[in-house]
Amino acid sequence: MGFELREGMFVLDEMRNVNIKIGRVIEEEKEEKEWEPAGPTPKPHILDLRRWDRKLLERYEPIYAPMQDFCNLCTMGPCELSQNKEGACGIDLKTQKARLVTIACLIGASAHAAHARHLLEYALENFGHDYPINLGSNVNVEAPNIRLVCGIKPEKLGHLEEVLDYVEQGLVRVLHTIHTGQEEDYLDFESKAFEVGMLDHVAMETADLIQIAVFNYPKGEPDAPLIDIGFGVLDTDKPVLLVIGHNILPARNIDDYLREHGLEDEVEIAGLCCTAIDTSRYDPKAKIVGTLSYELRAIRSGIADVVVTDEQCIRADTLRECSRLGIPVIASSEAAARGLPDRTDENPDVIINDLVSGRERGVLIRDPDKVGEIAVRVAMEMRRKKGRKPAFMEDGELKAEIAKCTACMGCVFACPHNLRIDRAMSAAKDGDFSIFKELEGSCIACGRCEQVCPRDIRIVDVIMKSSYDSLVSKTGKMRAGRGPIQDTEIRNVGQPIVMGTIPGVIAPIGCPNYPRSRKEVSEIIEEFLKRKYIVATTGCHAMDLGMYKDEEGKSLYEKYPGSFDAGGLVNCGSCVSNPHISGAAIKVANIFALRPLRANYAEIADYILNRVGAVGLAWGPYSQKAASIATGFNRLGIPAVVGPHAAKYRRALIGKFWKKENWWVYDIKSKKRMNVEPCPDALLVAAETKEEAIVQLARLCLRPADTYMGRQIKLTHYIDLSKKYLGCLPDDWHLYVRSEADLPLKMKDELLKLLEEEHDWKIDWQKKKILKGPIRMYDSGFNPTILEEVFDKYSR
Amino acid sequence: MAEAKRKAKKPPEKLFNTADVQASRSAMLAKPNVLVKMIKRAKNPVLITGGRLLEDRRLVDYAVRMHDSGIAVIATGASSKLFIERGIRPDACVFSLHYITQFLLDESWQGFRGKPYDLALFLGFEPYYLSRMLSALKHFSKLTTVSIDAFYQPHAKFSFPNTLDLHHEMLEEFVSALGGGSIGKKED
Ligand code: SF4
Ligand code: SF4
Ligand code: SF4
Repeated sequence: MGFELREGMFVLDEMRNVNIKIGRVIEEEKEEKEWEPAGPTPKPHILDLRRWDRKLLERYEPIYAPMQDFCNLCTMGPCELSQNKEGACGIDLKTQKARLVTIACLIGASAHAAHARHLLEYALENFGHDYPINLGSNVNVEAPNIRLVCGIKPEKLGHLEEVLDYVEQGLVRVLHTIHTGQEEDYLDFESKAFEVGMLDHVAMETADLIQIAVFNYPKGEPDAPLIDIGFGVLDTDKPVLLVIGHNILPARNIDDYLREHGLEDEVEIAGLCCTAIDTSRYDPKAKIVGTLSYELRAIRSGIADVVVTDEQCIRADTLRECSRLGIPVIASSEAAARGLPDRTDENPDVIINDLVSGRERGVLIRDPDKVGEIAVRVAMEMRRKKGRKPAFMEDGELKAEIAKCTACMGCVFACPHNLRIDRAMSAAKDGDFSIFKELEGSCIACGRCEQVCPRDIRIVDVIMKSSYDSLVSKTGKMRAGRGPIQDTEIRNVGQPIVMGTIPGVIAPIGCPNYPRSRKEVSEIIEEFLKRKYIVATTGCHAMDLGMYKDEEGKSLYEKYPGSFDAGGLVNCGSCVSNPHISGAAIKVANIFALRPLRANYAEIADYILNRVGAVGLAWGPYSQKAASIATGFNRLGIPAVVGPHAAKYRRALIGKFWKKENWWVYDIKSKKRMNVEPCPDALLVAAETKEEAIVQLARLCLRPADTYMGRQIKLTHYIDLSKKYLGCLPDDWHLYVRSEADLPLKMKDELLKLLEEEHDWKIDWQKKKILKGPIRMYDSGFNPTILEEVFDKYSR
Repeated sequence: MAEAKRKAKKPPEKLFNTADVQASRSAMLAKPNVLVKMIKRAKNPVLITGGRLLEDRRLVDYAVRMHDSGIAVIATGASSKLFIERGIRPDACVFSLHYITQFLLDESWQGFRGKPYDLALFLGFEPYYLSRMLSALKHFSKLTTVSIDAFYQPHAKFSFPNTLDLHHEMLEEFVSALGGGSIGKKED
């Protein structure tokens, strides 16, 4: 008798009081087995990849830079841990810092996992369990992180439930280890942070797959449309709806409502942060104001008629700030209910009336599909009622605010950049606003200065007013986030990346807490685009790259093609699009090198570490999400250069080039263990200036497996950039030379001479050959790994 | 310039970002003449310079004079270019302060020229970045750290007070007192 199982509950005859509940029907076992044999670590458990982590951590030793030297996590404390003392529970300062790093990663990964869960619940309800995940004919490996970590090939939305179940369980498992009285070795906490970073990439990939599949975002097209970006792109004669956050759902509903009601040209949707990026993937006509550092400015400028918030990276004073200006707020996420009354189930007319009349400062609407109508109608009615808002600050007010300053310098010590506001104020009193204009580029509009000013000066407004013309004239173009890298692109660039003839993949990602001007990230990146590196970007960096234009008025997206190829600038999308970048590295190992992907994490990470010259650049990271994203890249063998604020994450992973014993591999070809060049020599390291960051990025692209052609190209750029920005040859260039063929052609004689004179190498001058000196000699079949099992598998 | 000088104001000596709090000691204020004595006593002092030198060329003048008095220089943040333009080859150019801190934390490190550093002076850094590195060195090493930057650095062992607009004057006093001499030439 055939018997079909379905989800639900049923009672068997003759077995009273016995209910059988079928949760999820596992129907695809067969299919799952067929696509690829499973590797050693499907859905790895918290300790399954510990050995790989230890290998990384042995080389890339954690360096801890405590923000505090005390702990007050439990009531036996607070405990003073300075000079690595132990607290009442026995934990020492280093381990405590590693514990905090793990917590930061957990916060970040949980934000993405919850975001993915929100999207999945919505998509399952509205599109169904069987809705296909299809990224088009050019993307067959649709979910490299999920395949690699979970061993699952998701073909339908429903398959992602199992993925998220795994991620959520993993996060809770790690969170439980944070409890007082557990780990005592900081490396074990670091391994857990790695675990969380890896789970984060799975969670983000899940979130982005869902949105791409159901909202029909671009599917890896290199020529995704160009989107208007910048304060100046808004038409403020129309009602303006400001959407802030990271979850597309409410913003999409607003966009749909406008289209369905023929209002696209009547109302402006302006987005901030990743919601903006994802809205523009849904509708290329959506406009982007900018990154997190524009939030307070956008609100204070008064351009918005209504503000809609969803989740992550939204200022916690949004309601207070909006209320002061009479701007109604619609909160739409459980993550930020803002103290507002839950009006989800009420009649929209009543809600709209309450908001427009000012009876309510804001409302919580938990159903994203109800936000559209309310937000649009409120924006239109607010505009009808109040008209166009007056300028946020008149010249007279500006003068009066400046006059109040006593140059006490309180603000200077509160400002995260120690900006000299006192000096700017004093110059402005004499009519010179140039210091304020200059300062605006570095000010992140955090408002900390205002909190301490004894004269209650509206410092953020003063800075904004002083440079208002340049702010409102800011317009740029950003290529819409295209999601995945195509398999065909990987086929084309896999070999040159691994050989090194494409000198590297640079991935500018993350937040806008930059050390200096926002412009710098464009300046850094253009240096690499000109040199034919591949650039793949996401998030706030992707936006800021579109914000700055050259003399001809072109942004980088207009100057460089959107293909994943030498000299291409690929915008993958929002924060949750980062796994397309880690995924590209994974795909190089899988599609180009044919390394098995399914549940085979350590082998793939080992491949990437030794061969794929990809480096992240997080020039302004501030969030816990950035911490977990970077940690996920690190576990996969991808280093990152971070801006100086990232030193506040408390730990970095930096190798010591001079510890020769740390730099070794097994060579599968010669079947020997041998010393290698120290490359890459860090997994996470801060640079202080853009010049320093550029040189660090170039050196971190070096990989042991570079062919001589690749090494020659990489060294040429490294040396050239070092000469350009540091004024000299890099101190460690000789460590990367294995044979004369590695040397930059134009400098060959000069460098051979230096090797002989300064480093005592033996040179055969007739043949211009290196006889003795390198850490190891070049061997074209060199096949490195730091994993015993990979060595055994391939040297058999 | 004269106008700026006239307005230069003395900031609070020991204020730093008020939330950058630690339970353990905060830096003793370093008086130029005491600092000079400390440096002269050290076996292998080193000056580590940061990216602010790119914006304030007078810092480069002072750094060069310190070098001329016999103190080794490690240039970070791309400040090396400014030394090289003046004919000075720093001990290292390519490693960021983060690397240098990691190396200094390792007691087995023999420095860039085969001799461990026992006193490090820091000049020209983003205050928040230097603060973290000094915190690492305070908790996990025995190195004597001295900040001679414009902002007071609580996590150094010794620090200039907040000088801000008066920074150059303080440096002038210190560098003049340092003079030429036999710094770092002592044997164990
Ligand atoms: S967790 Fe340990 S170190 Fe922290 S307060 Fe409790 S006893 Fe002290
Ligand atoms: S708002 Fe700008 S000036 Fe004020 S503290 Fe923040 S970054 Fe500094
Ligand atoms: S805190 Fe206020 S009064 Fe003091 S210097 Fe800053 S702006 Fe002027």
